[in-house]
Amino acid sequence: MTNSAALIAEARTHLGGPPGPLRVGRDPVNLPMVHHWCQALDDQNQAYLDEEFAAETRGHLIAPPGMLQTWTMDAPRGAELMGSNDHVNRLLDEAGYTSVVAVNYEHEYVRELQHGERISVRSSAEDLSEEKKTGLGLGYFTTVKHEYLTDDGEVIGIGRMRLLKFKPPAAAPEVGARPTPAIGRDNQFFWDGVQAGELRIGSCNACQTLHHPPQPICRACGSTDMGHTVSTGKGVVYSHVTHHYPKLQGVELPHTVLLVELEEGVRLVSEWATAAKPETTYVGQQVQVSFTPVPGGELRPTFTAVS
Amino acid sequence: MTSVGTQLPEVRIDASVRNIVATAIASRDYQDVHHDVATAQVKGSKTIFTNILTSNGYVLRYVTDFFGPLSVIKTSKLRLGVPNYAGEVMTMRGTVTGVDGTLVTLDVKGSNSLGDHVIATVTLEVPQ
Repeated sequence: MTNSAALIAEARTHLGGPPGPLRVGRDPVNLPMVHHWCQALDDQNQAYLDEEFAAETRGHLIAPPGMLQTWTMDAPRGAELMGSNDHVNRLLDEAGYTSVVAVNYEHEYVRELQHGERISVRSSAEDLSEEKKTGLGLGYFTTVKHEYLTDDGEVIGIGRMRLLKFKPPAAAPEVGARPTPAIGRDNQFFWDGVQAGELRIGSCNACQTLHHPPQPICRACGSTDMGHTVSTGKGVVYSHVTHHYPKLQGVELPHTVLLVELEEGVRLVSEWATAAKPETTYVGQQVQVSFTPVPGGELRPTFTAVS
Repeated sequence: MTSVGTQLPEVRIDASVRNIVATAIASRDYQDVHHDVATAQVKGSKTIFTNILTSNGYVLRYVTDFFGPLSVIKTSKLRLGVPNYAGEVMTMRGTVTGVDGTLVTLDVKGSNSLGDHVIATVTLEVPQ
């Protein structure tokens, strides 16, 4: 048996076990706390607030039933005051199911409460599910039962809260930094342009033919006298493909790769400035260059759609 | 005249920061996710959100506002859904699903921009 399974098995031994000690409400049911509640919730029920109405109907003011648990709310307790429910929660924590979200909150209001009545509560673990796979992660549903009593032991309300105690899923793995480009004499101008906020395209100083990616010799005339020009950055999507798998360093998946045809006539491989949106990418889509940090923080030429 | 199918009028409740903090403290709920934005965010929430006692209180207020101050709430059963974050507006809707003498049963739903925050079944005694 794994350590975790042993802890869960121990938690089950507490189900139906004795409730924790009676916790006595700090103050009896009282008008100032009712006023505070009614003002905060904007509840103007005469049964809670109007003494004259109360005298003519029930004979007395009542407390809002929704305040039942409020009368026994208190600061966290020490280990010596733990009941079966506290033990179940502690063991689930130790087994790694440390996160909690409430799923159900149910009450039976046996009778209405009057001012001056002191309310106590005793709480017990009622149920612990099998391990469940949930949208939030692996976890256990637990039900705690609260019995609310007056000083002479009359049960005036029963509450049940069902909680999901779950293991927070591991954070998405970091994609790491995008590999840095290999920069040499032939393409230095291109990457300098990125830093300067310019999309630079290699051009032949002899015949003015444009080239991308950068190259040392003009394919048109064979000249090695190469310069560059600055693109307007406007173009259209010539083709696109979306990469889902395998993982790539420095790339958040899915990743839409764009082949953009610039209005100067050359094409370059790029990506969207924001998260991939394969479903809205189409051939012929008008795009405009922008310079955006990629994972790792370096700038890359990227594109945004223009309408 | 209440009968099965009776619909309660919609009521909208603003979940302002002040409202969330005031209601949490009025119910003596000092959990930091109900008053401390920074801590709520560290714990994975967008911001502070309405506490459960208050959600229950709003469901019961919605029902007693309709049936009047002589009505007596017997049970409330809440299923909890999306959080009611600060900045949301929760719209309450209710439908009578059962009438048995003076005992009335309703479905009540409180929804915000994220979906259903609370789905409740409430029973109450409504004097004739």
